[in-house]
Amino acid sequence: MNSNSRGEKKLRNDLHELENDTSSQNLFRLAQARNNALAQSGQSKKRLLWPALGTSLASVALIAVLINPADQLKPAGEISITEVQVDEPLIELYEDLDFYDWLASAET
Amino acid sequence: MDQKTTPPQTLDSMDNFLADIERRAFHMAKMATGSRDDALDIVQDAMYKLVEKYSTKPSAEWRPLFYRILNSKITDYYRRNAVKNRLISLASWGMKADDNGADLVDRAEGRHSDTPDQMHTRELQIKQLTVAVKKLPGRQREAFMLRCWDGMSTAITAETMGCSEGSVKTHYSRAMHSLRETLEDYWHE
Repeated sequence: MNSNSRGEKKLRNDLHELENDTSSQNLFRLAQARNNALAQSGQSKKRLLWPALGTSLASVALIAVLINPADQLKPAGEISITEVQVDEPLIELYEDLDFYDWLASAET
Repeated sequence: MDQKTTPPQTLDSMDNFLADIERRAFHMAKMATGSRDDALDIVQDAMYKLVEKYSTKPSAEWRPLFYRILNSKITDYYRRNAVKNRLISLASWGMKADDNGADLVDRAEGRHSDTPDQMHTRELQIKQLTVAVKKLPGRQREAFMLRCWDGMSTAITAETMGCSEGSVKTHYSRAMHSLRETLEDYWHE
């Protein structure tokens, strides 16, 4: 046996010895990890439900948007116009309030 | 048959496979990371992924797949810790050395037949081996662990590492050359 393979063999033996001398605490943790990993396979069906549920909800939302496109999808530029349109009656109301206030004070 | 559902007999086989490989995987990860807790996390992640993604594959493919996942997790660990390690490497060096020492004392307790001198010598030898393997570049360490430690063939190692057999031979040869320089005792005793 040449020195290369002798050296490799000694390295391998020491590494295997290191494995065999794994402390009981580490062995316990490894067994726990293994059991947890194996236990997850029973839960794989539950995990599959979430993407399916999410896809269904997304489809419902998309259909709702398609049915009511005018209310849901407006270009950004139109939003401010709509806001102005909504705001205009409010301004008139405030002006009217001033008028009614003046009218009330004039009548007295 | 639902491909995602793992039959009970497969779970038994997987349990046996993981029980057979977990100690080696743990020490490989510990040598690569220098940390017991990180090594345990890495092995657990590798087990999860193997069971989740590949339990329906033929059992003959599990070993290369598992090592491929393990090495991928170790690489991820290095990436995540690259910056952190640079900052704390000097500060933590002494602490890690102490950890290794403590672990070596633990494992030495199982060898009651050794005299204190023999125990001390072996502790030092294993400590030197651990440090030398940890210092190897990633691909060289992978090739060394799979070829020398696990005893995989060059072809299976190439499949596991995702490279050619020629690359495996180069990585392994360089790894052995480095180890031979660092661990002279192994070749000259």
